[in-house]
Amino acid sequence: MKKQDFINQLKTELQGLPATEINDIIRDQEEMISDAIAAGRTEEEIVNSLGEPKELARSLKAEFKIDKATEESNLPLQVKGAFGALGALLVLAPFNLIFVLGPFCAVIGTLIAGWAVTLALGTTSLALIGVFFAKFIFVTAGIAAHFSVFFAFIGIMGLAMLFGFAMYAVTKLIFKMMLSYFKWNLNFIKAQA
Amino acid sequence: MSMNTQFNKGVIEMCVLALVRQRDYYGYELVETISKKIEISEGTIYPILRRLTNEKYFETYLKESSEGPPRKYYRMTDNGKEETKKLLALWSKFTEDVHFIIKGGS
Repeated sequence: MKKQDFINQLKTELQGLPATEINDIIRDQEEMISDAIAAGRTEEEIVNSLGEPKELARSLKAEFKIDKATEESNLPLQVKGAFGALGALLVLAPFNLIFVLGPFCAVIGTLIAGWAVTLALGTTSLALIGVFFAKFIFVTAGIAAHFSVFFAFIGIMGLAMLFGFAMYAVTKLIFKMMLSYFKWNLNFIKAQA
Repeated sequence: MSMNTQFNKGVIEMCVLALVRQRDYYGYELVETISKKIEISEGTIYPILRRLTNEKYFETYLKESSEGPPRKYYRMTDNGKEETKKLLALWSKFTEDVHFIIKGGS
C-alpha cells in the first residue's frame, strides 16, 4: 500500500472522532512515514509495518472513548460514555463478547436491581404522604392514626434517600473500576497485535 | 529470540521514558535510538507516545525541521519525571533480582 492510500483509509476509518483528534493522528502518521522514508526505508515497507488502517483506527477509537469516559465527571454522561467504549471494544475484538460484555451485563443487572429498590422506596413514600393528606382532609380518625402514616412516610423516605446516596456512590465506583478494566483490556489487545 | 510481546512493550515504554527524561525527542528519533539496541517497528512507538501524552507524562510542541514539515517533539512534564523516577527504581530492583536468580542465588 502507498502512503497516501494508507492515510486516506485511516482518515475514513477514524470518522466519528472529533476533527482535531483525527487531524492530530493523521499528522503523526504522516510525520513518521516521511521520517522513515528520509531514513532510507521504502514507502511500501514502512506502510506495511504499520498494519491495517482499519485495525489501527478501531484501536485508536476505543482508546479515545475509554479516556473520554474516564475523565467525565458527570455520572450519567460517564455511564453513557462507558456504553460507547464497550461498543468500541466489541468491534475491536470479538472475543470481548465473553471477556467484557459478560461481566458488564452482570454488573449492570445488579446496579439496575439496586436502583429499582430505591425507586420503589421513593414511590412508596410518596404514596404514603398522599394517603396522609387524603386521610387528614376526608377522614375523621384520631390524631394518632394520622401520625402513624406520617411517620411511616418519614421512615421510608429516609430509607429511599439513604439507598439513593449509596447507589450513587456504588454506581460511580463500579464505573470507575469498569473503565480501568476496559483500559487494561485495550492495552492487552494492543500488545497481542 | 522472540520476546513475549507484552513484556517487550513494557521494556520499550521504559526506554522511551528513560530517553525523554534526559531531553526532548521527536517520534522517529526515538524509533532510531531504541532500534539500535532492540528490534522494534515504527508502529510500536507511536501508540506508546500517544498514551504517555494522554496520561500527562509528556507534553508536545511542534518545531520546524530543515528536512520537511514541522515535527512534534515530546517533553516530559514534572509529573512524568516523578513517575519515571519511581518506575526506573522499580525496574532496577527487578533486574537486579532477576540477575541474582540467574546467577544461581536463592
